[in-house]
Amino acid sequence: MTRNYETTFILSPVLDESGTEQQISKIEAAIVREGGTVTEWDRWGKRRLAFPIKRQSDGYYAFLRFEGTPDSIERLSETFKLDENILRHMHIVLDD
Amino acid sequence: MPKRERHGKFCRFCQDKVDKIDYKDEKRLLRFVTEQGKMIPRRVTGTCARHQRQLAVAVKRARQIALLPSIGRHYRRG
Repeated sequence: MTRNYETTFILSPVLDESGTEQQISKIEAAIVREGGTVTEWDRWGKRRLAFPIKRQSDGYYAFLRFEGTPDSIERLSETFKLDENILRHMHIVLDD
Repeated sequence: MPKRERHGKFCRFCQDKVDKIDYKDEKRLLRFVTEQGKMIPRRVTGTCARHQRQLAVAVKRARQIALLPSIGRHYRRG
């Protein structure tokens, strides 16, 4: 059974434009590897964080909507947590 | 400081016919938390029970992704 998810990524502000693009395609690749289908990206760009994360006071916000299975989410989280360039990520289930 | 801020007794979300409160809409959420980032009770804001529950989830999500503060500015060091 697949579900629709929305994942927020806060990417490191240290990355330059091409670095950010690379990071985003890396995330997409990880999701495809887990059998998910990417629906849509929504990018906010650099923004001030409400509180510092990993000593950074800014972050690059990107929102991803995709379809995937619940157990793939867990594995993806592990990958994202290990990634130095992702300051934080959060999965949300879009039900209905 | 005014003794009590008088809000209209109606739910802002019902008025705007909001079906689901979006955690990314930080401008809107900011009006339902104090300066320190704590949630304002619905008896003050007039939010209906259904929307207050949704609001709580939205605020918690927004805190996770640093759109809303989780600690008030005054209590933070540095």
